[in-house]
Amino acid sequence: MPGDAHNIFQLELDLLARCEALARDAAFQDNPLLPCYQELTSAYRKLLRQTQHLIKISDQYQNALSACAEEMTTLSQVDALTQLANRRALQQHLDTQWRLHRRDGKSLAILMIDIDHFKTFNDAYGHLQGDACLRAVADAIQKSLLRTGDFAARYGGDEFVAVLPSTGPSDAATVARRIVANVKALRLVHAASPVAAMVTVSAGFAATVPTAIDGATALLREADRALYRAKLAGSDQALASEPLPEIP
Amino acid sequence: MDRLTIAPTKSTPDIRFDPDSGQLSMRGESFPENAAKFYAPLFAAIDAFAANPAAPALCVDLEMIYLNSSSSKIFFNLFDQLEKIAAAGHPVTVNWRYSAENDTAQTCGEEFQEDANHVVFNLIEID
Repeated sequence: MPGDAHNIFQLELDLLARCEALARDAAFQDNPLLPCYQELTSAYRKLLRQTQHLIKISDQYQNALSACAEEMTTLSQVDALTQLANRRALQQHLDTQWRLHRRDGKSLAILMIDIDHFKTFNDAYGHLQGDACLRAVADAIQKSLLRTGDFAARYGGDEFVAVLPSTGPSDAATVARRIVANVKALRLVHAASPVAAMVTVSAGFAATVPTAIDGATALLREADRALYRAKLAGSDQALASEPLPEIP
Repeated sequence: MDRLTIAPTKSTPDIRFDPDSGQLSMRGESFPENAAKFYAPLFAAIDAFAANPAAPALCVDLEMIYLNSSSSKIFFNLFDQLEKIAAAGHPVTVNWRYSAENDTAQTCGEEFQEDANHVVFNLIEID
């Protein structure tokens, strides 16, 4: 029997072939132990077949389990409503990016985005419409992030966060303003909003070259403060945490 | 004869064997710490059952969702034991039940079925 390099049981099959050839050998035919030898050979063949089945079963269970584990990972990282990354995934991503940017001495930017008067929207149109609004805004945010590596997450409620790698304050401002404009362009009616006739968002952004080992949370807080400033300034706009230094 | 009842746990199946009616059922998942030790009472009970010439036909109902490798090997041993009983002239039926969504349980049953010559081995899809 020619050896098959792709059969993991080729060694066993070769042994069996030799055993069976031996049992057919003329010199062996008068041996009183021949029947016993044949019985052992066929018992070995049966056990080998079982082992082959066993391995097939185990492989299939392992594949099913690893597919299951993959799905669990996805479920634990994705926000079910908006399909954006969830807060847990954001935290992991942010920590990694913080470390990488600290190592490379590059600026990392964070945007925090919040729907203006979302509670009023929910009260006026109901929670199903509220969910549809969250999905539409999430989609607009995602589509406003044009570079690979840009990352959007649902932070909770009607708050979203974007993490922009290798991005300084002025580029962060551009992206934040684009998000504000793109959400407004959806023209989702929000009659009860004191800001505009349609759904709007406010955004705060902060960018820094990381120095502290664990400053990611501080940067997030800074973006949150900026968001607060944008709300105070009348909403439907993007602001930095502190006024950008004026270029002379 | 004594019934054998083993309550299910997170890692072991529910096992019920009534030698008087010849009904054996196992349901659940199987990944015990020591598979040989866990299944030893079942093998002993089946041996005792087979030793009784007045024993009724044996009907084995299985609904196993997950088997680890050791348990799969145990099931091959179990089916060997059942084959011997059936080969000796005692009727044995195995019903391997699997959920339509559980492809692996189906494959598993098909693999076991291949070795059945004297045992009547039925694959039964359940909802």
